[in-house]
Amino acid sequence: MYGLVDCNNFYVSCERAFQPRLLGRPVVVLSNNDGCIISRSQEAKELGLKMGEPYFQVKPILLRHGVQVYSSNYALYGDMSRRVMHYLASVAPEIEIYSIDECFLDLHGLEPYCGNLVELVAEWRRQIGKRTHIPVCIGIAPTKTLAKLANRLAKKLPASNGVLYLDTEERRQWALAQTPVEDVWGIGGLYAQKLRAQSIQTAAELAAQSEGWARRQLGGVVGARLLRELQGTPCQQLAPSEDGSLARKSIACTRSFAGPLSEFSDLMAAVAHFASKAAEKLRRQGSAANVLTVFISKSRYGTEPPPHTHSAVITLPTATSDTIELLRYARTALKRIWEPGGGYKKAGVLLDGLEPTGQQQLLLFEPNEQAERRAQLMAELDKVNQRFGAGAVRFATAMPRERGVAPWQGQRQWQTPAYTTRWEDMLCIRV
Amino acid sequence: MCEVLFVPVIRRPLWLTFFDSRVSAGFPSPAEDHRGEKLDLNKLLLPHPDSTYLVRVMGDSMTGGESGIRDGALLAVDCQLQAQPDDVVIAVVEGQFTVKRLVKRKGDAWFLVPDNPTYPEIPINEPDLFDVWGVVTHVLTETRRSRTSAHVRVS
Repeated sequence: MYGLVDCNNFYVSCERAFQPRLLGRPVVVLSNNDGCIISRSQEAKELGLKMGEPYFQVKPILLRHGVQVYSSNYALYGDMSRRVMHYLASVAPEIEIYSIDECFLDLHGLEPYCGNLVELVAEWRRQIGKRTHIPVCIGIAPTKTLAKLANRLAKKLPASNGVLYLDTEERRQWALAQTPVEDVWGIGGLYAQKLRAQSIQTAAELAAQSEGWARRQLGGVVGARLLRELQGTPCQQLAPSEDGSLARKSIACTRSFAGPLSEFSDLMAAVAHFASKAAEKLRRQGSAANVLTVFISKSRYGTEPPPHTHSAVITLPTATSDTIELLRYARTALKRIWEPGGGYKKAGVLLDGLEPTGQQQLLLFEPNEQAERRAQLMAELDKVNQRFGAGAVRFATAMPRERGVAPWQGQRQWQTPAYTTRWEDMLCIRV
Repeated sequence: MCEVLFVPVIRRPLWLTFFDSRVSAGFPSPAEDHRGEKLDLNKLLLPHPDSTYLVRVMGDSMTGGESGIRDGALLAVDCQLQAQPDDVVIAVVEGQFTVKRLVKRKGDAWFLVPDNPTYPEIPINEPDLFDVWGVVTHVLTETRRSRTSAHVRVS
């Protein structure tokens, strides 16, 4: 059996954990730069506010209904996520952190020892609520795809008390019939359109198809797997990190800008800043990256036609966590995609193909001695920045051209304090 | 796309050497033989780091009593503990945080009692509007002004 734990309206719930007065009131959290809505409380959903709606478009509705608006506070969300995941890792046999607010559980073989699975995970749910004040829902089913589907229904049905177990054939059929086809994990917008055109409306109708049909219609073996998962045969296992640690498989650092940037040097400064931060995170978890992706985006609300985002992917000759190396390749990547005159609103750096440091294949012609000294330099750099604050020592490429606020720092007008990760922001109670 | 950052609680052990032998003045003690174990203060104060939060207190409604929570004190709050009668708790009353002692009196009547007798007690009449957010396990105060007092956030 697999479980999927999903934190309800995660970012809003994090804000509520430290501001209980927000319970029962409409609350939204905006994306970086206060761009658009990325988390909504149930009350905000009921007002008709949608995910991804730009703030400027819904501002009148927010004002009219007295909706509490917050800028995103990732220092807080990251810490609260870690607390939830650590707890799950301490009680479940195996976990796979799927995103900041979702986690798959491997529950195989638990039933003979722990008895009723529903009672067991209901207790986990209660404990998470007590320890972190974050409400979660848990779906349990024979496959990951069905667990995800069960989770969605657990959220919708108040009678489930946040836990839904698809343990019988009748329940599986019932759950499939309740689920619109576009809400099945792995069915994107395009496939959903295609399926609806063939009058397949629900997950139940999809599950009734043949495997050969799925191979033809849903992209080969991936589609066939999806179908079998819906039919109750597991085709996907958990993908926990090998050593059972919570290290991530990829690291992303992206931001939108306060205003559009056009000059290469300005964009390079932003990209270099993101690459430096990503490299620092990489070293903190003891990993090295094999693949570097740089992307830059123009405004989706401008006059230009799509595509708005351009990206370049570079496979590194050896896995590295060396900022100097990564900056060099980031510059090459940016040169490939940057065009003069484009007003770019957003950029980002992604590091993929992570492996633990020390396992890299060495290049025949790379002088090893220098690599060691560079690793030492990076360790010293991290130590200095940890002691004197982030960015105390930086690469000149990563400096904004003009003094003052860097364009990628953006606006965070309504950000709450980082209650759990900064001494200055600690929760303060008047008594 | 957004940045996803997992921030670890900094919980590097702080090793203090604990000597378990009495000092005998005037006699050179072979210290090696008497060195005790090393103590990790974090282990003592934060046994459950994933459910413990640090909270700063402002105000004097808890001063003068047994808890010793002075204005500006730093509290370690463990949310996984079940509150017992006479625990000092972080309570939520009508949507607001407060720090008080949870007291049970005759007839299953519960009160939030300040340590400072000049402040009023809060009877818990409507359990629906009341919640225990966490249990205060330790209080950190300073005997002289130094680094921790710089962390008071005036709001």
